[in-house]
Amino acid sequence: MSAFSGLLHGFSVALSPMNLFFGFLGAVIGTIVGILPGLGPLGTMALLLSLTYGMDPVAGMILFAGIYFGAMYGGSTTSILLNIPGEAASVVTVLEGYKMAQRGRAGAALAAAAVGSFLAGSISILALSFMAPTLANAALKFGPAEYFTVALVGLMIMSRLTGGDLLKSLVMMAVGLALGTVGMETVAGYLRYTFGQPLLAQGIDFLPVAMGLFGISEVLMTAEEPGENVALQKVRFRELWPTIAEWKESFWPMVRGSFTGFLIGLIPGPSPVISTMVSYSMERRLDKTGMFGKGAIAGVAGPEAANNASVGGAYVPLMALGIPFTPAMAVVMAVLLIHGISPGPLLIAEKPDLFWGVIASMYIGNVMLLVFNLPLVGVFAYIIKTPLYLLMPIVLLLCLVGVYSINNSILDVWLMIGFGLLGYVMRRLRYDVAPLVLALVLGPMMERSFRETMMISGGDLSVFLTRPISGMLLLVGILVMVVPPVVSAIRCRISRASAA
Amino acid sequence: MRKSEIAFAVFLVAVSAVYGGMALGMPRGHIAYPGPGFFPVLVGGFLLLAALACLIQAALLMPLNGAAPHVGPPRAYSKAAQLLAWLVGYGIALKPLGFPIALLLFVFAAIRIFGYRRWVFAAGIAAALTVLSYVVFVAWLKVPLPTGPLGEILQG
Repeated sequence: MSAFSGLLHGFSVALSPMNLFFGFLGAVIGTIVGILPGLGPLGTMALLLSLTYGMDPVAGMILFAGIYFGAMYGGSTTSILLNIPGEAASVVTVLEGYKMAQRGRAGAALAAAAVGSFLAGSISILALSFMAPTLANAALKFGPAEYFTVALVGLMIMSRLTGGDLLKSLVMMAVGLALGTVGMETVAGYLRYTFGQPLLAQGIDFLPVAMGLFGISEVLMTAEEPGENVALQKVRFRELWPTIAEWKESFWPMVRGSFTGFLIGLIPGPSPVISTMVSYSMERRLDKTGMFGKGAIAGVAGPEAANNASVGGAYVPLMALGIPFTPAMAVVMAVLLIHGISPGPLLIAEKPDLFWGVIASMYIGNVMLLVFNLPLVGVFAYIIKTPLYLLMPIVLLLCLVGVYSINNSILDVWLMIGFGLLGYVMRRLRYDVAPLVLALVLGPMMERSFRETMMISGGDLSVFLTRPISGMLLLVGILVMVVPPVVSAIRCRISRASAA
Repeated sequence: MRKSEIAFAVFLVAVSAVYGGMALGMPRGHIAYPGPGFFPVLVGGFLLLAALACLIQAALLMPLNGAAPHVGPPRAYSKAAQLLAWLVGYGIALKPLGFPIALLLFVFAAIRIFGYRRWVFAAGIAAALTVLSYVVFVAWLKVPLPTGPLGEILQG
């Protein structure tokens, strides 16, 4: 079956009333959990996994695809409006999106995020449909050395990303890496830093840390703001749409973000998070408006496109090879496994209904999400008008209940409260918490990859440089770290010389 | 601000020293076969160096590059402290009192801390949010939140 005829067959499956309903339901649930801080797509899918036992596997897959794509759409909303990322892939959106909201352009930022998400979703689904086998082969060339280098370069980029104090970013990165070593290590089963607590054996989950550092600390900061009517930015409805200049500034970042996100989605690891960072960094370097750090629309449109596109990319290795490269994809794979279906190279031939039906449902879901999100941008903006005495307790409630639901563990509640306090102190002292969260996510993968690389190479560290992809990536990382200070030093000298 | 910066950097140095010290006690293996302590030793060393650099920066450079002091109306630090105390209280009360009672009390307190003064309305909102979260998370999504004595009554 060719890709075109497969897609036609897929649409006949996806357009059945029941599958349409589950696509719609997934899109709505995904958008809502993306908007709400504290309950991300991974947690939601994990919560709903048990419900798919009684469903047709195609319907279950369609439901989860809708949730994942929907969360990427909705995740930007709280980042832009509240400075609270709805989920990890929206952390970067906070940097420019919230600044835009502070200068009265929240509506434009929300619209750019929705359109960017749609464009990227469409491009990535097209690429998934037609290029899956070839691109999956390319992703297969990644060995542990490449995994390690990708993570290291991702952290290097992050440390340069926010424009804050580099030293403080490096400390936060180190703290995140240290937290990532807590729990049972995978090779020998050795317990590290568990202090006799059995619950710590499975490690420190990313979600309680992120909810504490971003959600709780934000609420604490808001609580201490002086005055009665403080904190949240207001949006005037005539400003809900980007201006022509803003559309022009955001179009190419959307396109670049789409392709970058899709390619990064093929790489193992938290691709939605990394793709947003790479896209943001790229747009920041290409920026000619000087608005980065002050609320640049390109810094919203690019990363939001990238995180949506990475979802399509992340489906490639799962659907074509049967390998989940992200925790969310592992949950998606569980939907198939509980129905006795093993995803892999034979899936397309053996289960064309499932493979092409899910892909076709992504096209339909993407259109649904644009229809939800564009007209409803104004409705979401109304969150800003909610009184603080209602909004902040609701945010806290979702964090407190949502964090417990991840592992049904009270330890996660305590972790979130502890990291909330830590985040509050760090924000007051101008430490950027994003590198900590990213390092916590990437740390275990980095350690595993490093150890595997060393075992394979017999302890030869030069393997990171001699393997072409790894060497290229390291070169990129070194350039990212070295070039900006060198360029600024040269510029400084030139301007001093011309002044003299 | 400078004292806080230095104090936090000292805290980070202390944490990194403890972390690194514990890592040194783990089996490290060798470069061709790294053990469970190998990566933590690397991370601990990196953390210690970065924390020390932050401490030196805070001690030496802050007077030149320090953040501007806060201007404008004074911040209500007590509100953040109260909220934090209620969060800790929620954590302590979650198991013995159960999630509905602990959440009801916490949400009520949070509404009051954020400036809403009408007792009855605040209690009504807190009760409505608690019931809604019970329906969604416990009844619908089957999250096994501790329900405490109220749960025993509700379940008969």
